[in-house]
Amino acid sequence: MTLWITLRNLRVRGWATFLTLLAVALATATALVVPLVSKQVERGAADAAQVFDLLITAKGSPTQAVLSSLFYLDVPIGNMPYAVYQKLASDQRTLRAVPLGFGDNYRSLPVVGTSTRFFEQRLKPDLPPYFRVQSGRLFGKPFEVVVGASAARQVGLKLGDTFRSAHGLEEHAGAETEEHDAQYTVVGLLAATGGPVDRAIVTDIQSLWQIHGQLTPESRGVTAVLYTASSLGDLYSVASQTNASPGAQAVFPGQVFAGVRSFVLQGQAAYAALSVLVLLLAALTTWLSVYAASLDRARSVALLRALGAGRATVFGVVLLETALTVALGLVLGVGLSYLVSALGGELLGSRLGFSLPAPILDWALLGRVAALFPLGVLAALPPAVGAARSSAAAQL
Amino acid sequence: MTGRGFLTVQGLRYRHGADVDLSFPDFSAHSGEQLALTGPSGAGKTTLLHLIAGLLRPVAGAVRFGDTLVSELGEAQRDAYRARSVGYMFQDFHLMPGYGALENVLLGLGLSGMRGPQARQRAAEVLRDLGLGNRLHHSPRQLSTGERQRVALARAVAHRPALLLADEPTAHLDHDRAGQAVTLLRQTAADMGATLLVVTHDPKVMGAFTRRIEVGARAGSAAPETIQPDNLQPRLPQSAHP
Repeated sequence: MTLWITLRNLRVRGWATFLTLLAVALATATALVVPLVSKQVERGAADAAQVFDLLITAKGSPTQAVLSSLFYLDVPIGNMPYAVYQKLASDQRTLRAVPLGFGDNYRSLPVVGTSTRFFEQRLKPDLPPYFRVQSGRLFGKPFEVVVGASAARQVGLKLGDTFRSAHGLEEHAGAETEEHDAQYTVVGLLAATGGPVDRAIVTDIQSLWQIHGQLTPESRGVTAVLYTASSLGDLYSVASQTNASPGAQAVFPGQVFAGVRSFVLQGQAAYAALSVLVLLLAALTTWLSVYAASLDRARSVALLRALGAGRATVFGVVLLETALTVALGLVLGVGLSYLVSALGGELLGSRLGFSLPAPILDWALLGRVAALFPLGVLAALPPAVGAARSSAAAQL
Repeated sequence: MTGRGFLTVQGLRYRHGADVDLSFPDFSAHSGEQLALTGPSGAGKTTLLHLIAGLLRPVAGAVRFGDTLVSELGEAQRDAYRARSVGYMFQDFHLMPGYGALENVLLGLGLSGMRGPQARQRAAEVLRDLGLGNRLHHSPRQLSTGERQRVALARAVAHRPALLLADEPTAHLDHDRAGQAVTLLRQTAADMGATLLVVTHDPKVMGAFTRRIEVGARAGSAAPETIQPDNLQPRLPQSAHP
């Protein structure tokens, strides 16, 4: 009977119920969205940097090195002489050295020059290669390309398509593009990884050298090298040796991530404080709604008591009304946050060029918003006690 | 004389704070009898109904209904007594706002212990009997005053109480409708065989009752009464609660 009455009372106060529910749902979603999207980005970004040990670039800002060479989001620091790559590739301590070259784009998608060793990189030695061809094959000669999953979708490139690249890292609206004469042919499409390569067009680095007239080894440049050492000891010795050299620097992407993360965490801490405020506001809205309802409720409670409802029944009705509203608001809020994160992640992903993985709601995040439930129910406790103690005769 | 439906009020006194100290006349009513409680404003007619319904406890005296000494019951027992044995029509009807007519009746039935399809069937039946068959899902705001009063009556009688209490049931009705309402109330109580107590100061309503108890007269004594012949006959005596 308690539930029967409760559901009808919620229906009768439909508008107030809806507003309370909305306040709780929005507060819940606000508290969840940013952590969810941040985790999506972190997951997509971190994997792409875990397939090698060291990023070797020209000397400059390590953050710029990571942003330009791994995420294609910044201008490269500059090219290193080809000899730097050659030396690393032939070093005894090297397991793998993958050259990277930039400088051209096709409709703002970066054309990344590399070698086929790029596709041997793995997250762990016993796992399959991280970058895989979904259809077609790998490039076998200059001017053949494989296209990242998002890139193919974005510009509609299919196997067998041909295109000309333009000079520069992106196309500028209104500006005249300086298109190269050489024509690329799409020979493969890559499987999506959720990382930045999804929006890249990958070709043999020789394509870039030929386009830019770097025909002799002395004239060639390499923007970065993705370096994997044979052992941990070798890794540190190569890193320190590279950093001691005049033309190159070795960057541990993890260290850059940690730096960026601590910066981002400051923002997240501010956001978390804001989330707590929003949650408190939702709790306050619930309290106000419960108290506003208790003014209307006095007569209904008296009537219930007069009709024979016991104190426990009216106590239960008042408490259950709030508990159901808050619980439903929380569930809606979690659903809303998932939806917004998925959509927001997709939007952010398209800005960053990633296909972000689906958001994952973990217990820590859910626990954060679940705190609103006891707060809300606590709000209902005084009016529930008041209802149970009220005198029916005094109200009727 | 005791037994089902027999009401006795004896030496009843109610006090609330420093200002309210009411004493009530002694009287009794046999099962199925119909009485009007009359008296000036402030005499305590509604308070007397509340005491009989177990909504209030007297500081002295006794209310006995059948074998139940209502005035000595604990609160939970009085709740159960009210839910099962008493039907109460309030002066302002006090229908649950936003609940449809059927839901208002179902509420009373549910608290008396009848639920599910059986309750729905019974609620619809009572409302149809009172001419509200096409108003089952109308909320109080969508009903006329007379219709609201009939929903309140349906809620009060749907669980077939042995005691029906009505507080100024015609207060919000015009002269003609008041007469019809009192007839309907008395006929419904008679059909169920319920003991009926009606608080009123409307002379027309008083005139409908053969027995009238004057509240506000000398306390602790037998109530001043007016007794007239009564022609009202039960159409279908039935009561679910022994």
